[in-house]
Amino acid sequence: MEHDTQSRKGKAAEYLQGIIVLVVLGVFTAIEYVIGTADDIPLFSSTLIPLTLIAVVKAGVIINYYMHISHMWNPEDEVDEGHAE
Amino acid sequence: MSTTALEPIAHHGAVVEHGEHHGGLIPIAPERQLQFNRLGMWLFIISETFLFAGILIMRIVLGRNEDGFTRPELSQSLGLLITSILLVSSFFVNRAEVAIKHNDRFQFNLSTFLAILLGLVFVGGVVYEWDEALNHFKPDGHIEGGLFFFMTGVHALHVITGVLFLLIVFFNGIRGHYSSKSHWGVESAALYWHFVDVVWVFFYVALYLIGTVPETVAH
Amino acid sequence: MLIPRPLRILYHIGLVRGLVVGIIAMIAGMILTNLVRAAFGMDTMDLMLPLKALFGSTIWQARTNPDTATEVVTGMGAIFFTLGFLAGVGSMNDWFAWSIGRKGGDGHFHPKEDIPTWTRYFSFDTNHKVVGIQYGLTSVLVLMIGGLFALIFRTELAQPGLQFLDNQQYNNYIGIHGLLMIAAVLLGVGALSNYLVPIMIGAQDMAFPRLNGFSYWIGVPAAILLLMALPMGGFDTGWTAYPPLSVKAPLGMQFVLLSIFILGFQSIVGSINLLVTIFMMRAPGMTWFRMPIFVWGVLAASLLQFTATQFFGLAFISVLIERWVNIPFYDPARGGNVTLYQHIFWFYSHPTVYIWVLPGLGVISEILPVFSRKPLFGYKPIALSSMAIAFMGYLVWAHHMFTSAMDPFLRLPFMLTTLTIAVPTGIKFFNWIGTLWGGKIHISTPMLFSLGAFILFLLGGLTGPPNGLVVTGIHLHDTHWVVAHFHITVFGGFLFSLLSAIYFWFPKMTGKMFNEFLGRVHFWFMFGGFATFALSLFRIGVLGMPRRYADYDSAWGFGSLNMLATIGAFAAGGSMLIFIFNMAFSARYGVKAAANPWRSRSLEWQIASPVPEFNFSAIPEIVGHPYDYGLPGAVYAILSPEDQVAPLEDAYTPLDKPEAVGSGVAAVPVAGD
Repeated sequence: MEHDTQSRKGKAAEYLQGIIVLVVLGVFTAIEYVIGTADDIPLFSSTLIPLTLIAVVKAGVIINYYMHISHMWNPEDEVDEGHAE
Repeated sequence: MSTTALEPIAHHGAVVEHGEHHGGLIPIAPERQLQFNRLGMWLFIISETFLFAGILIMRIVLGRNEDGFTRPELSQSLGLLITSILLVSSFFVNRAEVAIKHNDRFQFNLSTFLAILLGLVFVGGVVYEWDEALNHFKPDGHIEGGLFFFMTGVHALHVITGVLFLLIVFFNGIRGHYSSKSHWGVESAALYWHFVDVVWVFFYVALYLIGTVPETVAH
Repeated sequence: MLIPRPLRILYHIGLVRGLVVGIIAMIAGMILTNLVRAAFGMDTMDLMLPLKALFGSTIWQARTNPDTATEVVTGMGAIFFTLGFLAGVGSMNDWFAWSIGRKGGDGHFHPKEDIPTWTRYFSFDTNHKVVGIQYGLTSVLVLMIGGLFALIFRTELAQPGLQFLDNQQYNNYIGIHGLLMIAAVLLGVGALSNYLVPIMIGAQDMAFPRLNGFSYWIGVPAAILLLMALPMGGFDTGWTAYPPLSVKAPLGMQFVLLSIFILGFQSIVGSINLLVTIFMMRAPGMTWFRMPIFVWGVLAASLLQFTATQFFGLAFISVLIERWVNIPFYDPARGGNVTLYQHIFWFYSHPTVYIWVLPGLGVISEILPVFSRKPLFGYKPIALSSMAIAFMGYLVWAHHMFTSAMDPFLRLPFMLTTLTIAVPTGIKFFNWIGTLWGGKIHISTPMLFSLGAFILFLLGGLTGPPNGLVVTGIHLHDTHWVVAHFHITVFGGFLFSLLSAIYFWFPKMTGKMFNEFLGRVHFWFMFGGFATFALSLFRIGVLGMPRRYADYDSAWGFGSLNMLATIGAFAAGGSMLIFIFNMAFSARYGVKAAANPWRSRSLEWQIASPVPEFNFSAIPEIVGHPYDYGLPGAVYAILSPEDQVAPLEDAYTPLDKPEAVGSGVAAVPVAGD
């Protein structure tokens, strides 16, 4: 029973993490949109570099939090769940 | 070949029956098999990354004139809309994966369904955009427009493949096929879908945001 | 039971099923594409055209620029054929079952009553040894077809003037020769690595056995499509398919592009499978530096293969798209860039020679210590030099483009990287010499081929820097020198190693010993013939004869050298017939071979010949180093007593004085080091 509540708590935290990641991605996309479509931004001479940097950060966020690349070398965090095929 | 390479030999005078030799296949533990699958999937993703990197290099090399990078004349609001749709579908795929990990079947089915729906809306958005874009440029006109159709086309093919994977997951899911212990099918489809999303993160920037629309629109 | 037995056997041969389903799918696909095109108001293709062309009319050959409808409909037919073939073979049955939530088969071979066992070699099978032999047989078949085309145009070149080929046929034949040979070599790499890697690392099978079977069978429709290119009108671009010529080439070009694109799937899927196998399935105790060198070679080659192949696919598919929907990637008038194709193309096509050569060099490193009865000199440098070559391989591609429209500034960095790659290659050579030095060398057919590979690859390596240096490279570009350099490198680095490997592991694969005399005859004809061919060609190239020309002026004085090269090519090609006879005859009537006739220490030689279905009954444990030949008391692996096969006293072994593996004393002490 205790294990069950723990699992449920973990579930809520993971759902919440998904939402936070989505919000972060949304914010980055909005920044991208502003940089890309504004007629004149005095900050950057070329938009290529800042836009590429933001895209790399976004890709990193997705790869880390949605694709769970760390499961490749660190599968322990779900062993207690018991994983099969 | 009469001597097949696998026929157990008649050494020491004893012919061993085919398939019943002294050793069978030692089963691989499920946790180990899961790591095999993950490594294989990630290597496949790295391989695909090279394909899309090559396409991005083509865009960087071809999509420019004397003044710098150029971009085709596209509807910015539509671009932002379909980008958001794909991000949200990625969110639902992740939610589905979390749900099945905790055996929350209702959330799992619902999230998968919504992700598929959003994926289809994305494909519809690309088709609508092609229709709109054809008013301005043609694939066989200037390379600027051709690249747009090429890049969105290659990406949309991957999205359709991803939707097919998600449909398989969905139909197996509503028939109760995955569990918290065994859901490699969900995980692999999710990995693929997120990867398609990552590709679009770069393609969105490359197609819509960098460079300027050239003054004279050549047909 | 109502169906007669021959028909049932035919049904159980996957190849037959695949062809039938593939052809039905092809016709359906062509009709479907025509209907879709008609529905969108586009022009359609006359589906009777293939039949008309088949019965005597050369309607497609005459057409230099096929209409889009014919092109797209036949292309879709080819794609549907491939998919139908793969489904018909049964390579995707389990995946289909899984996707509809069924359990699927267990992936093992289950012999059926009254269906002979040989059918499994022509059907979908997941066992890595069957897959390896399938790859090997296909490789030799494609090699022979490709070699035949080479002999045809080599005969044409033997004398000045056009004798029996016209220019178009000559162009077709050089192109198809190049591509068939590339396919053959890639299949050969697949044969060696699939058969050997799991046994060498102490595994029972590959990590993904179904994917393994699939990756072989996807190559078969690719090979068929490649051969279709000639009856479909040929292609005049050579194997490189440079645009804009390839955009305007006859219909055969499209089959080449599709075929190579499909072959790319085989490369990618196969190398991912090998990588996971090598990373995950090594036996306990087999650390990275206890792996056999061949596995290192396969690892390095697979790392290149699973990434760079995507660029090959991208290059070819972009040309195909330009042909189909006219996106002007390579049309400068509409903003395209022809040099871009060369960059994308060579980013794969230069690393691909390392994909072939690295496993080949691994084979040489395996065979030299066995026949010298000495530890491999410099294990770690050899292992790491493979990785260094693989890494450097990414950075040299533009040395193929010194005379192209590339920015001349780029010549210098690519010249430097090109020359640097000679360093890791040289490391291998010096270590091989160190291995042979003071060894008790046994000359047998596999060793002869390895030494031949050593010599030829050395010549290939030494003729490389003149191509890589900008000053000489520009002069030598597009001459027969380059052709000779490439051929001697691939013969030395891969073909001789492949033949060496086939001779070496033939007893392991079949349990029989090949005929040693015929093997030696094969070697001397092959080596002498090829050396004559290559050395003549070097001379012709330095004199300035350009490649890809069907004719030359007799006044230039290339005639006698070209005749010599042709004679050499025929000697080398003819010797392959001896090889095939030897293999086929010995597999059936050969003397029974000992389980370990070469007294090798490697894992695969410790178990029975032919290898049992699942290699080992218990996973072996690795406790030592693989190449400690002649060191007293050195132990490499502990196998289950069931697996370890005692040497047969009466069985044939070509090496004198049987000694227990790993317990012999070095004949000559390793002096000085």
